[in-house]
Amino acid sequence: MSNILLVGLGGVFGAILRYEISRHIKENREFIVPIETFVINVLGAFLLNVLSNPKIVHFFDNDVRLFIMTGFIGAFTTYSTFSHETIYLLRQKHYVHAFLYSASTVIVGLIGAYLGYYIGNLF
Amino acid sequence: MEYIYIGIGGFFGAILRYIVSSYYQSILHTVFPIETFFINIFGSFLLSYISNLTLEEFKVNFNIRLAITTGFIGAFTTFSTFTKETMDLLRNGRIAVALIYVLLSILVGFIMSFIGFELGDKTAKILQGREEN
Repeated sequence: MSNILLVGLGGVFGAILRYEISRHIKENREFIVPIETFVINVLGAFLLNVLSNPKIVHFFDNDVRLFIMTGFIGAFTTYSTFSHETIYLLRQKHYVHAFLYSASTVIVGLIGAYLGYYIGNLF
Repeated sequence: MEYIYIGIGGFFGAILRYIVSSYYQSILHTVFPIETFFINIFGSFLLSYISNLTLEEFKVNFNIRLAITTGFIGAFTTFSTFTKETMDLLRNGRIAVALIYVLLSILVGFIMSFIGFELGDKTAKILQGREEN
């Protein structure tokens, strides 16, 4: 199958899963920080770094990589919503929440990425 | 029903990200992952502009809005690749580049999103003015 189609199909499932998880957490959360995007981005960072570890990635052929890594996980996580929500919190004058949200997303996201890589190394 | 709209948006968003990043990787050979940087900051601008504009003044169909914001722009930008590239830079001993990449992505992403919100407000005002006249 063509590369572009594989990436697009991965994107379909990634975007829908993000919407579904985000909607579910949003309905149940009682605080201001958009924890749904935080959870999605940290989870996706972890997963991508497990799969892209050189010890793991050679198990997959190019088609699977494009579908799962570029398409699915790439579309599942999102950077624009992260920026948008932070500025939204700032505009609502929730300065502390904006800081906590953005700092924790980046720090925990990178820790998740490191953990993913580390776990990949165990194989 | 909204799944179809988000899926279609996600389909094109992921493809555009793939095309843009493959193109830049083929012409630029920089250590700094400039393609993901541009995708993420441009997407941050677009999402805030469109979300803010279509919130009150310029109402569009709920499903179309989801397709563009959650589907297309959400799938176009990516957080996971951002963390993977940062890890690659750190592992290759490019610690300064990694630090600059993270800080610039955050800072410029926020600035672009802020400009998106402000321009959304301004566009809404212009549209309002037209209606009144």
